[in-house]
Amino acid sequence: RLGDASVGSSAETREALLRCSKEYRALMHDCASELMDSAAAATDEPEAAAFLENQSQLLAACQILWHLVEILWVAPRYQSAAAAPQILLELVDWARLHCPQPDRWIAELLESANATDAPELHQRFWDSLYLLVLQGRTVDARNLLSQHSQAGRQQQLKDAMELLNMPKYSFVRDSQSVRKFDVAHCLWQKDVRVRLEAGLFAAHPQLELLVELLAGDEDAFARPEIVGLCDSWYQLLLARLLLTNPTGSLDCLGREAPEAEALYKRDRPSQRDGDGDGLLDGVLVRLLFDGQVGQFLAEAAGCLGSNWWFVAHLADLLHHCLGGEVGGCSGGGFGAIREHFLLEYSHSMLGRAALWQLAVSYLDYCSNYGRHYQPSPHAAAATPQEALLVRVPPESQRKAEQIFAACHARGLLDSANTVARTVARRALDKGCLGNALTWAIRARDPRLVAAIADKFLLGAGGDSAGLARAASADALDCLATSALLSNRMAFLCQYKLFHDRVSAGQLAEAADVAAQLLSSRMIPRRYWLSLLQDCLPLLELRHQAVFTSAQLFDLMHALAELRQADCAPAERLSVVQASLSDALRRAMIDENFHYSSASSSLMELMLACRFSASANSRHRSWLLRRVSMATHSAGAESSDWFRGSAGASSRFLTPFSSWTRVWKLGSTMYSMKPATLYIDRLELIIKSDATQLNGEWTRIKDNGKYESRALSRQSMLILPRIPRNPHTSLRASQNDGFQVVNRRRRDDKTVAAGSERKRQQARRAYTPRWTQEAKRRPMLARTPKWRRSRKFKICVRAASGTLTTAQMKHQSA
Amino acid sequence: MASKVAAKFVSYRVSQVALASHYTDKEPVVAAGSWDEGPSNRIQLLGYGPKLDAEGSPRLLAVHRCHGDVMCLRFDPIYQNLFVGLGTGELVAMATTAEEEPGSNNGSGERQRPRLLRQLGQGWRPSTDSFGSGAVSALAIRDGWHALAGWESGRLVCCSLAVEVPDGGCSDAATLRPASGCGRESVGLDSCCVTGADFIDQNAACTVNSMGQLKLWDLRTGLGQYDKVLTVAGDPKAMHCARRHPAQPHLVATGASGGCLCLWDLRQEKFPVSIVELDDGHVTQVEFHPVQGDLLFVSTMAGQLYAIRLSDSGGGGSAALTDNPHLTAVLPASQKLPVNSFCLGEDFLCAGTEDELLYAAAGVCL
Repeated sequence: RLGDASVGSSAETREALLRCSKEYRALMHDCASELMDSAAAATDEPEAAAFLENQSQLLAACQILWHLVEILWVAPRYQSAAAAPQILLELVDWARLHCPQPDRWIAELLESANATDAPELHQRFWDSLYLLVLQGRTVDARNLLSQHSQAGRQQQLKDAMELLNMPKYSFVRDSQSVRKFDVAHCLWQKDVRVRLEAGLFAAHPQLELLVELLAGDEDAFARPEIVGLCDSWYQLLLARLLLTNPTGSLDCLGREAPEAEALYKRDRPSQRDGDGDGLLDGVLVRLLFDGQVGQFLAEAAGCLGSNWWFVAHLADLLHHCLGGEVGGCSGGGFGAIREHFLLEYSHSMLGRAALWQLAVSYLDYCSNYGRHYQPSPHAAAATPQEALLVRVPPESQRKAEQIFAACHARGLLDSANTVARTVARRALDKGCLGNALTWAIRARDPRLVAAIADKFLLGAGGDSAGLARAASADALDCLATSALLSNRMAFLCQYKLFHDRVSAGQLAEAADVAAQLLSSRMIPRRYWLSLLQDCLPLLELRHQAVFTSAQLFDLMHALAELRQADCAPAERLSVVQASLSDALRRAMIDENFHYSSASSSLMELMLACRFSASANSRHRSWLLRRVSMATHSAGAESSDWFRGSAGASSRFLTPFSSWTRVWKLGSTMYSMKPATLYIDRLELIIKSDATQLNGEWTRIKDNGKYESRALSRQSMLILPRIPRNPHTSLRASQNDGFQVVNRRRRDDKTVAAGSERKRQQARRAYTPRWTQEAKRRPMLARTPKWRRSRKFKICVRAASGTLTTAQMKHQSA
Repeated sequence: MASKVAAKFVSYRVSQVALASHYTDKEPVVAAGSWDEGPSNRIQLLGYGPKLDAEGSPRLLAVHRCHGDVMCLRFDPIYQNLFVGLGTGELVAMATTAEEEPGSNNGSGERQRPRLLRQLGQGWRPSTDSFGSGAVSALAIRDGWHALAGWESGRLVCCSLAVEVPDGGCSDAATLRPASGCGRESVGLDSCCVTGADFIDQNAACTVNSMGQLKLWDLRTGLGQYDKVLTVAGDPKAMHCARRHPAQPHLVATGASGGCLCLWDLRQEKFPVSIVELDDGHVTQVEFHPVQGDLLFVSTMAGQLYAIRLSDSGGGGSAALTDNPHLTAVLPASQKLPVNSFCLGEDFLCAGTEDELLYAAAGVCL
């Protein structure tokens, strides 16, 4: 309750603290009463009843001590010198409150007086009178004395009743009032002594003892019958002080305590230190009277055992009242004691699992050793608060939420993550993947998220249906950026997105997701074929080109890698390949496929050729023609296209040695616009790649004739044989291409005839024309002009290794 | 806000509270359940005096010991049966009135005041599977007999309390079982922990989960597949509670992590009508005032219990939250530990907290 409230001695603060203290005492009183009631109710369980009764007594004793501390240290007037008499009165009241015998005796006495009409004959009459005087209740004593049967007749009794008008001190913040009271008290006591010395009460020994007490006679206080009436030595001490030195400073408490204690124990030889009723046997009270608060708290902690609550709260109250300057401790010493008790209390609460929140909240107020304390400055050890929070077992989701929130509220993000990780792992072990995922995301733990994604995928198996089933978990729906914690989780989410879009009829978007998944390589390879198979319905839609050619190339790359890795059944791959190549053809026609210097696209086109080589010969020819067109335009515009293409497409070039050779060839011959040459050569390479041929190759001799020789690694540049009649293959390609187009037009009537015509026109631009000259010189017509040029021949020689680069430059010049 | 607030220290962490029914506002009866107390977990039935008499201290009417944490408590408003969801995953029904037949009238047409706790038959839990269902984490009651319960594992079950009174007339034979009249499939599975549930109408229910999804279920088709799922945009925030508007069933209020309070109009697509961030603590419970529908009460893990006045959005009689709504604190500022649960009558509010306090407030209407 006090928390970090301001520490200080301003009147308002002290009043507030006093109010808190009283409320706390009232709570202790209530609890003690309830425990006692419970003990009384538990008649059938004697052990439980005894325990409850003990606890009740303990609480009552704690309340008495608390009250004493409150009077001595918490009350705002503590610092005023004029407050000493008032404090003494309060102390006397305190002793009276916790020693209710006289009231009980008086009640008994008054009841019996009705029968006897002579109460003074009751054995407790004079005892009650003495006790009332010792407690400073002189008015009550006078009233009781007036019940004496001779009260109206005996002068001694009248005198005694008159002497019982003892001056009362009333607290004023003024030292003048203390002096006035002192004078009044001295005069009154002088009057008492005068009458006593005059022997007025000699004939009445009981009355004489009473007056001797009023006179502050030390011997009277030492009389066994008086000492025997007191329950404790401090009751005797307070009575003596009240009647002998009521205006003395509080130092007298400590100074005279040993004497009073010795006096008290003189008649009780069996009672020594520690043999009394525990807390109230005197040791603790003497420490308080001596002003040794720190020692008092330490002793109290020892007496109370595991009940750290008392010392923790009391130390906290005193810390707020007095700051660090408390008796027996100075500077920050008391702060350390307080923190020690708070720590001990919070640790003691860990014994009961239900109290972890309270324990943590107590540590909030231990700034030195609770929240920020590092046991080892060099090691990244957890603070006690962190260690505590991490150790609380999160048995249920709700409790885990509370622990997690408690960590976050205190800025302990590492602990929060640890808790979340623990809960996630427990959920993962139980197979609750949704819960595990929730907590793993909170823990921001990529490895855990990946492990959960693996679990999802493990349940999926390797097939498409299982994968779809795994991705159907709606826990993946709202991951948002959290999915990026792990590649696999991102894949799952994207895969789910793909299916959602297909279900929603957003096919183009779904195709985009699929292509991105495959091109980004975030998807594990074993699921590539599943995804490609999931794409089959989209690929085979004849009335709609769902995939763009660029997306299809991405799919082709993936399929090529799969084929290379040989990790999937060939027949399933073939099915996908056929669909892909068909879809690519349709996509290219739809897009009016045209290549500029987009070198990566060119290489992709080449890859497509490779695909079509083993899939469909007509598609292959058609694509080869596309390569021809693209190569020609690229060669015209950029000299670097092959180098660029190698960089951009190296990932799929690497496995194919044939393509590497093509690249090497191209890099040497880039200036020659070798489109047709390539087409022929590509075709051969593709065929060799497909059929795994290591057969005969030809080498171009210096004289222009071809020499057949075995393929050797030493030959830097090896050219396949240039067909003697390249036009034949070209024409076949053209025809195939037209056939494909025509067939497509039959398939899809919705394609605009205009655009188709344009495409055909564009194609004719690259087709040798059968002019009159061509008819006359067919070979000349069939060979492109650039192919007959000197530059081309030089390049061919260079490529075949019969011409050095220097020679080539020289000849070109 | 409240004309009078009284606090009672009950010596156990109050996990859940439930108000017997609204008619008892003059002398409310509250059931309070504990959690995290091990074998000492209990449910107490506490009776408050009229207008929180003298000290506002309730009288203990009955106590029932539980084997597990009390995770959910709901009174059914007709028969006064108390449905209890336990941390062990068990769902238990308890009679709170003395009649032999639960909920019968005493002849005068006035229902009896709950004054005892007697378990009806055996508890019920979903059939065990490989990982167990975890604790009951959500519970809603409809028309006295039907309960929609959610478990931490995501399991979702529509139960009914079947009373099989034998010839001897002992009502202890009552049992809970999956409801036969609750669509084709009375057992469903959410993807993660179901944290809140409520019936929208006779044929629809909504649930919220720890992934931050509000799901609508058509009970005619069963719990096999949800009807619709609604989420807050952005990273997921776990939702912890859901409650529908008493008069406008298309309005649902949900509370989420980070003090996020959302108001949903189920007639609209996907996203909430209003989102307000109250404080740093998670929203633990949200309730509409049973009579003043524009009054919303929200408790948080930061130890606050706010009353919020909704504004009329103007469209179709739907209510909404302003961007910076005026928050009226019901509990004293000294309350720091989480308010785990609260229950609301017409003029009475009772809240149970983590620091073993039971607050009662009278005059909660603004």
